[in-house]
Amino acid sequence: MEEYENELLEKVLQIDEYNNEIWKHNRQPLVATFELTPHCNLNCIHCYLGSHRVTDDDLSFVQITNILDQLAEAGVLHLALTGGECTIRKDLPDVYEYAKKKGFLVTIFTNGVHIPEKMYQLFKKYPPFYIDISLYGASEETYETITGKRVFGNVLQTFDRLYEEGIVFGIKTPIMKQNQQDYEAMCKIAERYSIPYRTGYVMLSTIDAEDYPIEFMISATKMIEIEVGDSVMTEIGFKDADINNPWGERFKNGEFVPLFICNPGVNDVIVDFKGNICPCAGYRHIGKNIFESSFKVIWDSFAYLKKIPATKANKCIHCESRFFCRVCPAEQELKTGNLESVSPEICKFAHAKKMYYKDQMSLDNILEIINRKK
Amino acid sequence: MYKKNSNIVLRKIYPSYFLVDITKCYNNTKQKMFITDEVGAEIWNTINCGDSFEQVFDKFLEKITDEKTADFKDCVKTDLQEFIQRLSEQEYIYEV
Repeated sequence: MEEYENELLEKVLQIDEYNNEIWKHNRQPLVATFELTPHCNLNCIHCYLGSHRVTDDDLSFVQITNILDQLAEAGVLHLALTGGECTIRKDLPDVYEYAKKKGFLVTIFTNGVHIPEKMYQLFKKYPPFYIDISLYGASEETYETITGKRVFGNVLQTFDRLYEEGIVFGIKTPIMKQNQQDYEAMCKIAERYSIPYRTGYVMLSTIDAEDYPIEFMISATKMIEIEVGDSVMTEIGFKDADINNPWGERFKNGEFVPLFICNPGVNDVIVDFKGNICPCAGYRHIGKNIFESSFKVIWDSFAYLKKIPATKANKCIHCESRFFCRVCPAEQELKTGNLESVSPEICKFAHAKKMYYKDQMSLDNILEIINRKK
Repeated sequence: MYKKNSNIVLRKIYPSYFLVDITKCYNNTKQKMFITDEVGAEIWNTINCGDSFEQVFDKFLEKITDEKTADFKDCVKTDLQEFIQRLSEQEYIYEV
C-alpha cells in the first residue's frame, strides 16, 4: 500500500520539474484514498477492518459527493476508491462518474470478484487511471482458505475482461502463510497479462488494534526469498543497502531527527468509511470527521506530524537495520499507546533484510541466527 | 464563435492549474496533462459557449486590468490568440 502510494506520488511529481520541486517541499494534499464502504463480498481472514465489515453503515451518495467536492477544492488530483469492496456499492457508477467529472485521476482498488457491467461501459467513456486488484492465491482452495469463498475463477474472468477492454490494471498480493505456496503461480498470472505485480508481507493489526492478522505473516527468510526473485523489490532492497542510518550521529549532535521516516500529512490522506480524514491508513486514530469540521481545517491540523522529533527513548534511532524497517509509529501507538515502541515481528524482518542486503549473508545463515534467537 | 469541450475540467493543483481531459486515463507517457497558470485559468473561465474572439478578448481585458492603451491591448490580444490557438490544437475548444 505504502509503495503504491509512493508510486502514485511519483507519477504526480513527474508532471513537470517545477511542480516537482514545489510539491516535494510543500504540504499539499495530492493523493486521497477513499473507503466508500466497510462492507465486502469476501470474508478475508486478515482484513484490517475486522468486525466493522458487518456492523457499520455506508456513507450516503450525498455525503460522498460532499467529500469529493472538498477534496477537489483542496487540490487532490489522484483519487483511489476502495472499501471494504467498493464495487458492491450499487451507486459506484454514479460515484465514479461524479469523481471523473470533478477532474480526479481515479484508481479503483478491488478484489476483482465482480466489476458491474455498467462500470465497464463507463471505463470506455471515462477511463480509470488504474484498476488495482488484490489477488489472494492461484487456486480455488487458497481462495477459500483466505477469503472464505471459491471465487478464483471469477477473478480470472475479470482479468480477461479488463485485458480485452484495454483497461490499465495491475495485481497486488499480501503474501502470507496461507498463500505463499502460490507465489510463483501468481507471478505467472501477471506475466500472462503483462501487468505489474506487487507483493506485501507486513500484516497490519485491525483498526481496533486486534493482532490476529500478524499470525499470518510469513517467515523473514521466506520474505527475503520472494523478494530476491522480485526485480522491483530487489532494486528497492539494494538501494536500501547503500544507506547507513545517519540518525544516531545526528541525534548525538543535537540535530532534529524525525520520528516518522515516511511523510504523514504531507501529500496523502485517507478518507475512511465513516468520513474521517486521516493522514494515512495506519493513523486512523487521529482522524477527524469531515462532517464535524471541514477538510481544510482537518488537513491543517496534521501539519505537526512531520515535525515530531524522535526522543532518546526511541530504540530505532541507533538501529543499524532502520532503513530496512517498516515499523509504523502510528500503528505502534494504536497498539501500545506509545509512538516510539517497537514491534518484535517487524524488527525480525528488518534485521533479516539487513543481514541479507547489507551484510550479504546467506539465507541459511540468517535462518540459523533467527532460530538461535528464538 | 467558440465552444468548450465538455470533457475538459480545470483543476487548481497548487501552485499550477491543469486542464484535465476526463476521457483520458493519463497512466501512460503519451498522455500529458495540459498545465497552465492563473492567467490561463482566467482565460479558460472567461470563454463562454458561443463567444466570439472579440467578446472573449473584451471580457478578459476587463477582468485583468483598467489599462486601455492601444499597445497594451495589442499585447494582450497576441497572448490571448496564442493561448486560444493552443487550446484549439488540443481540441479543448472548438470554433463553431
